[in-house]
Amino acid sequence: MKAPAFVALALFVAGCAAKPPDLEPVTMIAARSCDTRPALANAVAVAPDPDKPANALIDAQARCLDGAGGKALYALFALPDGAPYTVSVSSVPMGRSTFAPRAILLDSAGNVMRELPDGSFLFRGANLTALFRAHPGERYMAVASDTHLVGRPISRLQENTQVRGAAAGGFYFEIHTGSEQTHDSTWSHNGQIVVAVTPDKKER
Amino acid sequence: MFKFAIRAFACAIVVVLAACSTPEVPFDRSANRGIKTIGVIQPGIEPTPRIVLASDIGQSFGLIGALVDASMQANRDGKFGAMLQSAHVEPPAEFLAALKASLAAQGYQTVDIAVAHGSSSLLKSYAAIATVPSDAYLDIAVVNYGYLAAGIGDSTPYRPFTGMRCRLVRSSDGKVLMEDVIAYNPIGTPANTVTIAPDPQYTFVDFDALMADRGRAVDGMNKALTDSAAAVGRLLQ
Repeated sequence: MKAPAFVALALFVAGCAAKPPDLEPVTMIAARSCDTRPALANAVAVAPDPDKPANALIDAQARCLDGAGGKALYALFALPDGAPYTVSVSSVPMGRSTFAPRAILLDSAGNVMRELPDGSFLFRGANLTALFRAHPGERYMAVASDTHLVGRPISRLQENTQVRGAAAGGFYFEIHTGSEQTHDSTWSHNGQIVVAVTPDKKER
Repeated sequence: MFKFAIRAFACAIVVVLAACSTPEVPFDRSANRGIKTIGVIQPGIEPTPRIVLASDIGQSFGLIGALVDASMQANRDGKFGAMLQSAHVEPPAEFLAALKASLAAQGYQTVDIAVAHGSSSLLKSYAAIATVPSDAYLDIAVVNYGYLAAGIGDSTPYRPFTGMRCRLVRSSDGKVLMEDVIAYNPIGTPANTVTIAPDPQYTFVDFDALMADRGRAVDGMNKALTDSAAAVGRLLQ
């Protein structure tokens, strides 16, 4: 393949990268009637395979949890048996809305076993992600909105470089350029959550 | 010239640092309650930061362009390094102090471990420091740090950046308890990497502006190192 064609293909593929849809941030849920503990029915099952992540869209109609911090929207995930293993839980920024996450681990009866500490969620790539080791007995994970963050603005600056090909006078050039982009959004009760489980490799 | 080319290659590594990273190992503190004292291995970090132009015209002209770019960068690095020296600023010391503070904030005691350490990679073996009384060793390689501009225009100013690898190893058996990559102000959104967005107040439209505002330039660089050190602490909470 000629170099210009290769570059054009690369740019085309990059241009096709899926961009999350834009969501209007939900910041007020005071009128919602809420559960006092997570409802175990309809939990989203997570497969013990990092290539098969579980997704949940938390919108204004999502289940609501009324806890010590106030009312929060949440999604419940059923974790596979066989812990310990590594769990990745991510909040995907959706345009104007970034779900403010906190994660609570429950046993098979829905009793709280622990909550991930504040500060566990860090940006990894474009997503806000917590990585942790699940313990035996932790069978459910409630990912709920963090009421302390909801409504606050979040702004992240992103640097990028681009390469494009050009031909002139029989010569081929690669033109390198840089750009910046600022993503402004609001911490919210709504957004998309992605959970993946990576089992430990068996020692031989 | 060859040295310049090597430095240019090293700078390119910064940008792709995360792309070749290994999968992260999250720390499980509740399963490692015995980790109370951490031996902080002298971090691998160059004494002089780099002032990187991530894309420019020279890159369009092959090896000759790369050599010219490398020469210009060496010039910028040298001037910035001399400015730090005249201000008695030592980034390695700033980073180590911030790192120990971030560990203390998470409730750990720290012990200094002085050992020869390059900035390009983590230690291959920890056998040489096995006699140091600590529950775990923290090994950090600051692969690169300094200031970076994505391009040559006013719309892509210089902003502080860092890229580092970190690993926590249990002293008793050498088991890796945590391993990760941290990038402050990376190019793109690298996978398997903790990414920290730059503080917008440290922005310099070009290299001359960076050199002209020494106090703020130093503060911005230190902020990037401090925030990266704080991220290490958060990975160990």
